[in-house]
Amino acid sequence: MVAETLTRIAEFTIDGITQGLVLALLGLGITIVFGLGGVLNLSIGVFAFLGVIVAIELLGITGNLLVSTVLAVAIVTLFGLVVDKSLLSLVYKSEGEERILLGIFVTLGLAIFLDGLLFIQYPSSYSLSLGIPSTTILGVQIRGSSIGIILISTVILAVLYLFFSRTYLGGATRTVMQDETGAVLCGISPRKMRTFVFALSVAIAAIAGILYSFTQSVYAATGFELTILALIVSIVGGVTSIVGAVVAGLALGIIATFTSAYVGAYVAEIALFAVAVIALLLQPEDIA
Amino acid sequence: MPSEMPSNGSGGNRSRRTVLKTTGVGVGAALTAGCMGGENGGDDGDGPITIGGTQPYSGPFALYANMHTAGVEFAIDEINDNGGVLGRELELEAVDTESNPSEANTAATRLIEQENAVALVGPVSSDVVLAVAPVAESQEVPMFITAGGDPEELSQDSRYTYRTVGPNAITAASLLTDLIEERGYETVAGITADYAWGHAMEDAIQDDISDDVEFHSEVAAFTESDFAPQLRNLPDEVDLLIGTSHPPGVHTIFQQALEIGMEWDLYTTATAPTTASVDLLGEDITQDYTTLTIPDMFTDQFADVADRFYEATGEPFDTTIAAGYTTTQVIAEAIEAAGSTDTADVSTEIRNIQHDGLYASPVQYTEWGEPADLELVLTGYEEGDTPWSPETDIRPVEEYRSDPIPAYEPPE
Repeated sequence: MVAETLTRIAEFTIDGITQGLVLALLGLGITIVFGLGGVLNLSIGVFAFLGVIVAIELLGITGNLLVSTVLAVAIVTLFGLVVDKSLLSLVYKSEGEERILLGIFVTLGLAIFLDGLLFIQYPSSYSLSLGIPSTTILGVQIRGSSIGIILISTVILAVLYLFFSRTYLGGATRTVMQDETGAVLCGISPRKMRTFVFALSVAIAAIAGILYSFTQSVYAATGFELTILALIVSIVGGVTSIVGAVVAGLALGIIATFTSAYVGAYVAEIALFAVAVIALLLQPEDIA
Repeated sequence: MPSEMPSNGSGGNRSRRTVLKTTGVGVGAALTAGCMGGENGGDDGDGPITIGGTQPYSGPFALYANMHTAGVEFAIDEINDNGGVLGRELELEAVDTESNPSEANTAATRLIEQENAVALVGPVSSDVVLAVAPVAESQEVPMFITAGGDPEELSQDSRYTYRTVGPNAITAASLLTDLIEERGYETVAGITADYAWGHAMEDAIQDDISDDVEFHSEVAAFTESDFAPQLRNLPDEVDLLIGTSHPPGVHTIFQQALEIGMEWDLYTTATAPTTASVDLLGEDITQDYTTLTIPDMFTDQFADVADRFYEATGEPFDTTIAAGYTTTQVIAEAIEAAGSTDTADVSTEIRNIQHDGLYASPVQYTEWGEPADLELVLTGYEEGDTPWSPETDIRPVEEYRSDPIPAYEPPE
């Protein structure tokens, strides 16, 4: 009985980490754009769903999951660049709270528009398969998709960490986030950095969407659900903290899984919002 | 500097009064326009006969809506090619309800009052059906439920609401409990969606199941997509795994149950579109996945219509498409029998109808709109050529067929 309970706890923990890593990537996508440009990207979930759809369409042509995934991320990122150069250019002309509000409405409008199109063209539910068989270690049943997601997400997060901490471009990004005026004086173009970061966030969202589809079916409305989750992660992690977003994603994934398993699925959703509210009450200055 | 609006001049006040009057007249006209459509209960006898579609083109049941519509439109094309109904063409006027009950209620009202719909088709979710059925009953316009299965959707007084390919939860549960008894299943588990259909099914199974059968049930949110926590709380090996009580999650539950290593003799679903299930699950669908269907995919008639549909559209025929097709045939037949588009007369003829078509049993109704003597089929899948979709190498096989199930009688 005790052994069975411990086995279940281990399985739920692994499931929670799996979900948490995907949440961490989504939260990171929102955090870096808000931190750098003051734009709350409410269309991030749609980009995640787009990544899945494009990957599935390409898989039908190439027959190769890796090639399809890489190409899908590239295509969605290109689309993100178009959005940045068109819609977000309007947003960046504003400053301060006006920019935040305008960013919310523009990205929300984009999400609603794309959702409408996607519902018509892709009304079914979709998933991808990594093809990694599930395995059992010391009696703990580990899903094949969990193994893949944990490995891939860890590599991506490690690469992002090294990028932001060890490269010139990553340093320039952090400089703009911390002190835009100082960055300009150092010859760094904030507008170019915002374009780069927005494209990066879209790429991260597409990857997160594809990883998400390895564990569960997604459909057009999933985009909005993922955006809400990404927002919660970003809020809990501190909306401008990259490390915070990752830690928050992991923590929330584990909380949601255990709450769903032992209390109830609806309570799990409420728990996520409750954590976000508590975070806001404890650290409102991070959001202001 | 003069202000734009004089603060105390009569010219400014006249202008403001004019704006207010004009606005008031405009609003009044807009409000009354909604009341000036055709008379309730039928159209004006000219032009096409309108079937109203209150379909969830967005949301978790979007696929049902698109496929059902394809069936309706195909039937309309065939009927119109054969001279129409009462010498008039049929047409479909459909609205996206977004699976939202209040949107569906508004859409149904508008289709009846402004588009003169002589029948409504399309509601899928039980919550939406519960919002649209009162409109159908009060406006006396027949309404066909695509898939909602809450027993409370119909009452003894219902005269304009009809089920089609979504049996009510009690009937569906009856099939499952008969199956359990017939096959001697001892361990049964299921995931229950936290809404009307899910709880109705769970309650019905618990009431009917034998005491010596172990029944495990976990509740998950209607929009849940990660069922692993609930599935891990179920036994690793079961005789019957019921996905029927969580229609939006049937595919994901199956995939995740396979992934976490659950084993079963049979997995049952709700009336999910069969072609979509095959597309999504691929070869995995042959691992004892079954679809609960009312259309009978194993008849020559079904194959014949499937061939014609594929020839006309290039798309595979499906049970959900068959539902739209059959419902439209029933509506047309009822209008012809009534000799008019008076919706009360049409509804009377619907209740008198016995339509032999694509279903496992003839379409016939009780006074309150419940299908009478319904036969249900559990359709499994195996590798092989299929008569209803030339592009796939997975074909349906009959896993289980119920005896005619007496219609559920709502309480007084």
